[in-house]
Amino acid sequence: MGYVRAVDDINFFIKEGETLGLVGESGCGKTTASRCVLRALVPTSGQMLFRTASGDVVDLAKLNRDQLKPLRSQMQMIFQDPYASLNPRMTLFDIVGEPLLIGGMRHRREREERVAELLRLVGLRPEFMQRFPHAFSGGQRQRIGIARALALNPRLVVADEPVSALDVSVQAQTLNLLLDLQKRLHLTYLFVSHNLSVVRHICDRVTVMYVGKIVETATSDELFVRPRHPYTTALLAALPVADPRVKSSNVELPGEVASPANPPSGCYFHPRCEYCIDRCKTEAPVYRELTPGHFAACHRADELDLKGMA
Amino acid sequence: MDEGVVKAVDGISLDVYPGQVFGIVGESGCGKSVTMKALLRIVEPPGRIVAGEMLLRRPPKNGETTDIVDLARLNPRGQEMRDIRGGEIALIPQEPMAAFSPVHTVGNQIIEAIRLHRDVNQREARKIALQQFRDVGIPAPEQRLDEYSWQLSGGLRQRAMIAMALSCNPLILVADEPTTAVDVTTQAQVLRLLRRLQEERNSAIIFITHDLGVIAQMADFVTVMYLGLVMEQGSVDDIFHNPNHPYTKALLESIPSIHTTPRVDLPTISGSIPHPFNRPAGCPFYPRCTKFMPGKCDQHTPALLPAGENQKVSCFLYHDVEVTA
Repeated sequence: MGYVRAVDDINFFIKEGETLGLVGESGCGKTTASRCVLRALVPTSGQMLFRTASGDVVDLAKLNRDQLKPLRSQMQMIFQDPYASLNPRMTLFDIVGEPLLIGGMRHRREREERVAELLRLVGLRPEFMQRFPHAFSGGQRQRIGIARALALNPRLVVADEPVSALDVSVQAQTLNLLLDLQKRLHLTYLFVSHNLSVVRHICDRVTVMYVGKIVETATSDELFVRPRHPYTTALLAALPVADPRVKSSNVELPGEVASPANPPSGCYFHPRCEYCIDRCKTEAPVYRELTPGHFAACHRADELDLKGMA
Repeated sequence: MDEGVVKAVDGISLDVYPGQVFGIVGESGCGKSVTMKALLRIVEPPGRIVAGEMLLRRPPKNGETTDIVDLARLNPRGQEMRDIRGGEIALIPQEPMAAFSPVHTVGNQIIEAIRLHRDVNQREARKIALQQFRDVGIPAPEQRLDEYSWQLSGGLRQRAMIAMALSCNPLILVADEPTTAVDVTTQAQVLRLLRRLQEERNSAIIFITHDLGVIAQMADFVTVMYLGLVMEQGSVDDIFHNPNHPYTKALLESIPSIHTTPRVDLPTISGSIPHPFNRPAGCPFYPRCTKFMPGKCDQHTPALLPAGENQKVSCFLYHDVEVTA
């Protein structure tokens, strides 16, 4: 039938201790990319270089299962849906303790102590470990998921839309917790989200994806104030501002998000881009560094003066 | 086994006028969806409307002065309510994928809706459906009418849903989280579309959402709900720039926005939303309220009373217990 290039030749890095946001709409490939990083999916080609705790650099894409196993404890995931990501038939002790058991912690007493410590770390009472997930709210379940992810002292945490399914008043608590844990445990976050406000709040640098490709990467400040790709500008303009006196931009991005199964020719964004010229229709733009640390894939990046948030 | 009664909605009063957008905003368990279902008389049993009225004013027919009907009094399965549901009051549901039948074309479903409410034949109904598709900006409408919902992208599906809702020229459009399931650029399109259509047709929109950004952009008047009660009502400008209720204020402060200082802790509301079954006595928000007054807020339930020119609030900071008793 054919291939869908969910992720199509992307190139990014994450510095130790930072939070990189991976942003984009449906079909952009952010979830696929994040799953690849953890080797939950196997990339068809390319490298994923990871500096291990001992300082060695390994290519995760090339390792077999046995080689990967000892490294898995160093990279963990927090999932989006706090209802689907916890087994309803396991107690909190079972859930948060499972990685410990797999990691070789055989003595129950030892696991109980560690689980208690982890629950406290995320703001839950250790007594809760005998209970089942259904006794807890969405926000609390998300904390359980976070505790589980931290069980083996990971260095890299991939957070896949960790607050999207939570109520507004709970999102703030969860974001604060993530920020706090990062400082305390020296964590590196890959933060996948479609919500730009949340990304702005928590990320140091941001990568924007569209239909499998990276269109722009920059520090959070730069991306939001001085974007260099028309799609980024459109994303920023589309965000509804929580202030009735600030009416959203009247510029509307026409058309629909392109399908990764059948992407347009040349630059994938060209059919919706108000700056499109002939070259954009036939030639895919090169993803290059415009100013130090600021990358974009746009033929006209040097000449366009795009609008960001004030 | 009878565990007790949950008051999903405990007292709400709205006046909805043509050409205006009424936002109902709140989090899980606040009762916004149940309010919408009550209006359409589709509350699932054993839930039911216990008290109150829902007066719908319709354009008078044949020289009568006015036609006012109380929806709460109608038989939900009766012909009159069925005429109103989809006719005078139409729903744009949250999940268009779930709302469309996957085994019928979208055209088939819209035509069915049209013919249920209007006295037209198949061909005329199809013409109307085509025009609705054009009005909502669906490209190649002739072709799309004969497609299935799963062949359409999320944005197009939502537009098709809106087309169906509008096909019988409703007086009131109830939009239940219409953009929660779509991308942000599609959301921007859908919101602008709704506004434009509303202006053209002078319909009223009741817009239900948890997203404060969307409310700020769409609503003229806002009702803030929490655990089944109305906490505050006012114009959208009042709610955002002069909120009265501690819940509203705390909610506004806790949302990250492009403009708040990044990477510092957000002000939060302590605790979490209790299950509606465990609604606290007195004011439902008191366990999480920084202005809680022991002896008052945990013993008596505040009533929604005026505060300021056009605002109303349920809070003992503004009204004494005696007034509300």
